[in-house]
Amino acid sequence: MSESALGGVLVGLMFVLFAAGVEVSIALGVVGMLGLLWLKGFTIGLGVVGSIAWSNASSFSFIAVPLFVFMSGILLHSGIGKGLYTAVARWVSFLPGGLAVASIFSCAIFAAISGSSVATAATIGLIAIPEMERRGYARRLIFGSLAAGGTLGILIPPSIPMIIYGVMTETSIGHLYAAGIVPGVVLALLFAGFVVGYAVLWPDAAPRVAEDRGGLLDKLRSIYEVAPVALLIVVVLGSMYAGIVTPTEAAALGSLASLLLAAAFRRLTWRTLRDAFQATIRTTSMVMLIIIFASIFSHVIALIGAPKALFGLVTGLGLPRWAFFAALFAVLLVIAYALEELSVMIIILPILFPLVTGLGFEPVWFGIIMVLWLEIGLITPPVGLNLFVIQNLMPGTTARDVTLGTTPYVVLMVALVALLFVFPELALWLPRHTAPR
Amino acid sequence: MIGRAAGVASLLAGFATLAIVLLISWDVIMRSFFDRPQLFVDEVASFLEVLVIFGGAASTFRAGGHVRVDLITGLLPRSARASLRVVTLTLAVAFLTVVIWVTTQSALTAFRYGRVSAVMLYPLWAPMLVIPAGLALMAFTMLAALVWQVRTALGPRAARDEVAQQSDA
Amino acid sequence: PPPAGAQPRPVVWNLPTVAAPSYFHTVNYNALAAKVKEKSGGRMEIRIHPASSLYPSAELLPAVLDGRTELGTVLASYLTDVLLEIGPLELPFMTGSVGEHKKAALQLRPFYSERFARRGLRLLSIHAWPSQQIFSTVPIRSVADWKGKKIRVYGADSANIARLLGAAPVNINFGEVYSALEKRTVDGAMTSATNAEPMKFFEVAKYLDYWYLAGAAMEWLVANQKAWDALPKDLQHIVLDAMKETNLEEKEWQDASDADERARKRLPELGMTVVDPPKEEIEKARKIAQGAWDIWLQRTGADGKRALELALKALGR
Ligand code: NA
Ligand code: NA
Repeated sequence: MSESALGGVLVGLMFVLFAAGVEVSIALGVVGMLGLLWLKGFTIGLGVVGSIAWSNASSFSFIAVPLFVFMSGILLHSGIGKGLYTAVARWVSFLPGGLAVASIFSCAIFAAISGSSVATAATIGLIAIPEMERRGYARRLIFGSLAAGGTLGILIPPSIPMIIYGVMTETSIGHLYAAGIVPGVVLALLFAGFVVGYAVLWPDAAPRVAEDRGGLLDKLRSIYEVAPVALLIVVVLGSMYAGIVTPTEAAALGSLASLLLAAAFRRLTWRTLRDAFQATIRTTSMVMLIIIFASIFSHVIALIGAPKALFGLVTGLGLPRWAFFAALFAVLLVIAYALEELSVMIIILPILFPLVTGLGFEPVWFGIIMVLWLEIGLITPPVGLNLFVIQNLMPGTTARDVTLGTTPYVVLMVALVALLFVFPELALWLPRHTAPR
Repeated sequence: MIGRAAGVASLLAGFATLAIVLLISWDVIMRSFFDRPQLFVDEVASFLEVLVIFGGAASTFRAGGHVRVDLITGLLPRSARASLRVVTLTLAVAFLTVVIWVTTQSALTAFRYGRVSAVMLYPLWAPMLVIPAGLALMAFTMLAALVWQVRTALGPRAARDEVAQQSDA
Repeated sequence: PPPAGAQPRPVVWNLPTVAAPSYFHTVNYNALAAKVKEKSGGRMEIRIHPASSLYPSAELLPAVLDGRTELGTVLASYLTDVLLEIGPLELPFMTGSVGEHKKAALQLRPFYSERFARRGLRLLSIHAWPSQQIFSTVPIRSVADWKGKKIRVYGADSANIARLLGAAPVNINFGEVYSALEKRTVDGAMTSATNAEPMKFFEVAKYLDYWYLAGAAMEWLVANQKAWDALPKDLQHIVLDAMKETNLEEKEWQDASDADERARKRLPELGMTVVDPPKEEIEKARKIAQGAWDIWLQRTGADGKRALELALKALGR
């Protein structure tokens, strides 16, 4: 069997295993392991599994995930998070689909603290889902707004994938951060616009609840309820931008602040702590097992030299600039549907980056394109980490809800990619004008 | 029994999270206010992270937290679904057994080489062993589910279906 | 059996490296791979995996030791355990330039070969990364200036030297160094001067202090001996000849030296201030740094003692 045939067989087998209902992480691990066995045999081939498991599990870049989920778990189970949502609901009640819009903007704001989309989706979702469910929002609207809103976590700085991209390609991480801000805000607005339009067309999907209406007095009173959590966000965000803490440390500080807050309100019980533990562990363990076992498969893809062959094919077509980019992104889009992208990005970047910059594309701009691609991957089935995170928080969600709920957002992201191709300044203006001199 | 063990492991994982929070906060406070950064914190925190991930693996399975795609299986007749789950659980247990074997080897190799962490020179084999330990617990949990599933698949026709996880939550 | 006239499958070897795709190491390794392919008529292919895409940096040495990758690059900066004794030249203030490092390193070749052989590795070639310096937000001109500074370090040795000089070592991921300097979370960071331009460190740290913590950082190109022995004799020769024809080792050192000089010339143009501490201050630091040497000697035992003697002899001290 040739190497490319092996790649094809493994991807096919992966889909069979998914369809058979094997745990996603295990399905990925099984095909990765079969690839290793085929290429290198048992003794040599499988040694890499230990290496991958250890280096991913002990990687400092992933620590923020459990910490943020823990923070959110404390806020939720101590009841402090509920106050926040009651208040927000009052203020956005005039807007069709108000709570879903609020979820998206909450994600955008939280994205300024968190460098991870999974953490963003889990943190906001943990608190927002019960509130939206309680008010009778359609599952697909809840699902889409949180899964997609969560992806903003890696576009709005800080961003773990931008760090990885920057280090791997020697691109300024500061410039990448600055370049993500405008597209991040644009994307958040696009998402919100979609939600409002959807709620106008299908009002039943986002019912307005009497308890959320209320006069100015109620609204003003609700500010008081928001105050603790708002303070928490200001403290964490402030300490990060003041340089007191790094983004990873901000996650720990946020958790500490939520513990102190819960204690101050006399709501820090053993039960609160235990429930927060459980939320943390479930998300972290599920997500990390997928990342680890998917990395095994990506390692196989690297060993068989698939990326070089694939992208060589696209380059070989001799297309004009725009068509080349369209073809390239189409290939990436297919990958986004099939695989877990972060580990794939690490494999393909060394081949893709020289190719793309060699054709005159700007490294910082391409970094933003890569991040948008990762975002798409996070919400495209069958392997989309944000889908899994929200699915875990909303048991009983059907595949139909997932697909219909998230596809519009995928379309919006692809549209943004096209927009960035036509107007690269959307990303590049800010880093050019704000970079410290 | 296995449920108890999974519960203890997940509790350890929970306290590991809390420990990371406290350690990193301690480092931040010591560095910002006393100019005394605590160099050991980063590496200890990353070891604890391994415990969060793998200590929680078994209880996450029990809670049905390791996601699966149910698009196709949902369409199958219930008895077929019961048999298919026997196959997929067997595959999972077999796969985990191999992973447990290789990650144990990996930890033993680290012990033989005397591998240590980059800055504090902590020996790596001990935290590395957390990986196969956590996965072994997960494999046992899945094995228990498999036994239960086999019984159901061979039992009265009317009761045949996929066995729901025994969540202790 | 393959049909008549069909090409047999080529021998594929993998070479993972830490260097970025456009960095000189990767360029040189690509040239080597192309030469091997050409000379073998396509019978052998070396796949280069830059930017730690196949193995994270710390996992690279175990991978080649286990034979999971046929070729590997062993970086001095990641020698935390296995083969620690081959790093005497990397001790702080041991050398003061790429040139000095090279002179000593090439003399130590038999020693390196012997140590690698004991671990089942075959030394192919000795290379270097540019010198290690300090980026800082305030100038660090004297030993006194180190006192109380929060300095980002990247390993046990750099942590020791920072501590000995009175600074507070901080462990920060390389990817977060830019932000940490920008926001003054740390006062300085130890890393290669050549990072200033591509990573845009010049925007956030105005000073580059040329303390020459290490005149260069070494990288050894090695093959797993078992993989090497399994390679047909003629392909072994082709690999060795390709290394000679691409002038790999010489080019690597030249590139490291050029990169260092280029960075130094370029920094003022980027608005950075180059700080050259007075000789006597560096001498003072070198004396203090003996503490770090002692720690290293303790960890490496008799092997380290011998290595240090050889290194000092090669440096003519
Ligand atoms: Na972010
Ligand atoms: Na996907």
